[in-house]
Amino acid sequence: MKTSFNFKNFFLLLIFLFIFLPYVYLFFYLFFPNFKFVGLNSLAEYIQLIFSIRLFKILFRSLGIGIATAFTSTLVGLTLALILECTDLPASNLWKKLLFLPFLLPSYLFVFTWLGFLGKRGTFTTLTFPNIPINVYNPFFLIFFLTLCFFPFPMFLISLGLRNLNQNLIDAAKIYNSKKILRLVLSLIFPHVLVAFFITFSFVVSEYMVPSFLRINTYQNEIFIQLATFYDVRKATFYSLPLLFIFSLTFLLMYKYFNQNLYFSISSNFRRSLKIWRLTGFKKFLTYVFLIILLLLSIGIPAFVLIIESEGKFLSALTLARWEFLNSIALSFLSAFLVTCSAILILYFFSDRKILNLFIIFPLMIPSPLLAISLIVLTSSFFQQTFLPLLLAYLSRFLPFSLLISLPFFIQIQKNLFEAARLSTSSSFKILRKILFPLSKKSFLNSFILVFILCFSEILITQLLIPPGFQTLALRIETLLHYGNYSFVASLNLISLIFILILYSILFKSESL
Amino acid sequence: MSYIILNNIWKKFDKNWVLKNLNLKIKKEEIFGIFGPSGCGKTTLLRIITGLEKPDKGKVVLRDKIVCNRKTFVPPEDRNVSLIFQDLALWPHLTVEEHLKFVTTNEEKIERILKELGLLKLKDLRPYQLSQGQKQKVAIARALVKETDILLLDEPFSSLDLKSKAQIKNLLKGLQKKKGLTLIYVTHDISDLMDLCERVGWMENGRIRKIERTKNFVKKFKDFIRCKS
Repeated sequence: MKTSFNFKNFFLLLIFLFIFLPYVYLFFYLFFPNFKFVGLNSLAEYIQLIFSIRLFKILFRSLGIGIATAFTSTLVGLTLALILECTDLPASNLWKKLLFLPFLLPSYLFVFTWLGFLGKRGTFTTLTFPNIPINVYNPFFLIFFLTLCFFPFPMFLISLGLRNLNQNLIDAAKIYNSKKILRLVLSLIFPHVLVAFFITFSFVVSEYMVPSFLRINTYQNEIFIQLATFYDVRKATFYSLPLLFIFSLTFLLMYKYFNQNLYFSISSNFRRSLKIWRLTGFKKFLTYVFLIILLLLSIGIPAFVLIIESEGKFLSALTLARWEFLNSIALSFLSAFLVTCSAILILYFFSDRKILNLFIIFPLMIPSPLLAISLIVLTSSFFQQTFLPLLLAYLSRFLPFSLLISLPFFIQIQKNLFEAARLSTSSSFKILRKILFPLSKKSFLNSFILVFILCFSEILITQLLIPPGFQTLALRIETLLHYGNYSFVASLNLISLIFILILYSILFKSESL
Repeated sequence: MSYIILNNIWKKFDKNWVLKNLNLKIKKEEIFGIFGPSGCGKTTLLRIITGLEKPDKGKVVLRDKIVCNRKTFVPPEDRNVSLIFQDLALWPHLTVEEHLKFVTTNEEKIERILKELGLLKLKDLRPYQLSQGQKQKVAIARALVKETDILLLDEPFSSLDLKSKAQIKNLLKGLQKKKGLTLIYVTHDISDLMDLCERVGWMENGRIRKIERTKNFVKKFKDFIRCKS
């Protein structure tokens, strides 16, 4: 009997291997410590290694900072989403796209520019109180800077929730009790708010550049030091286990919660304004003030500081880092292509909401150090000196973004177009080549650009997994920072910013952002 | 004496006129059917009565009070009109009881309505845990708990099987008599009209073409179908 090659199952297996296996493997270590070279002989040895008051203090501090930042970012994101999706604010789509931009910029750019603005010799300090410089080296400023980096993500995710709301649900509330509309809207999008909170929390726990600039020791920095400074994979692996435990538990609880709330879906249609509230007079003025302040803090001041600090050394900085710039472009291009193709195949094969939620939420909830370590451990015997671990890490990290931006296109494509193709040919590849890819051209381009920008700015995973002798622009900027070459750092950052802005301008036409 | 009056109503979406010079008068405690093909403006008409849409031109009078004209616009929450949506618009995260609590805080009234509609045992369930017929009942319960005397129904039986449809129709008839409701029932199913309505308005291209007693309407409608075929 002829057995046909099942592309769907093969693809599912591949995705499972790439995204989920590293974490499963890491868990395996905990219970079978002698399995591999990083294993321990007993649980007592592990407890001895991990149980230190200093380490626990750092862990709790990091979790506290994570929770506080996730809270402030979600609050800002929620307010913005409500303003931009539910009011009659003019040009709300433009505002939304401008406010999403900070999320695409590298976090080190924020901290570098803000230190340049508020630091001892910063522009703000020089102009105001040169003798009383503001002390920014504390957790409050860390939370502030991280909020500026991450608030666009909750805004984006909660906006998706609001776009999904059926207009009739709101109309029914208008008829039956209009005073409770806000409460109703908030309770309807609560699952999105919850997901946004936990994913932002994971982003914060993945962030190591901003805390290290502000000289605040965090748990992720401890792991990073073990890996990058002491090359102690074993210790780093065991340090990461509490994080793995916390995130797995959170993920399981959330998955259970969503199974009980079957109406939750992260997928969205194209932009459709709900227009629940009208902004008039003073409220409109306050809204504009809020939006302008946010834009100034997250884009205006960083761009201003970069221009001042660069001292016009763009050409020499670009000449110095030209190979790193080209490396970044090549690596981002390859990763973006890989991630986008995977996302389109996932969307083609799996229209089930639950599976899509899993593909989107799970990888986003895993902190970057955990992802890097799991891949180091998994590929230690065979592929460590290659680009494979790095590409796999990018795939896992950025696949959710690609899925999120491509979903609205796929919701629009009628299923029966594919069904008709399936009836006409038995070749899956022919369907992919002739039907799927041509139909998803626009989605492909949007996803490609978004992932390209994210890969271009990524630093933690890149630093841990990049093969020796290869350097990206972000890594070069970090090295220059350590040497104190601020004008070159500012110039290169400004070049990155302009490059990202040019790419992002293509996304401006996209309706799915 | 007319209880609901729509006078010279015009409404357009983008550049398309959906309602053109629509005139309609409905008596108190009447069950009035609106019948017409898809896209003729039936739902828009109901949304204008509730205040969810504002007409471009025309006057709406409810209970002898102008609720919409060039100068006045009473918002939906102040019109005291209930609407049962085509897709029912049940809030997915709320239980049956919470749906009613959203409308009123009067626990006694909530329990009475739940009992009347046979929903007491289901009060802790959410919409996705209910059958289509049960969902219909929840939508009716939410409409009734508002203590209104005007109830608008926008093709609410379209997704029901015959048995459930008959049950809900009987329930509605009983409630209409008991509570003295004025009902406007929008449909494109002629059998629903025969079972429920006293008078029927034939709507086409954004206008009410004819208003007839249901019996006459059904007879004429059959002739109309015959002529067309």
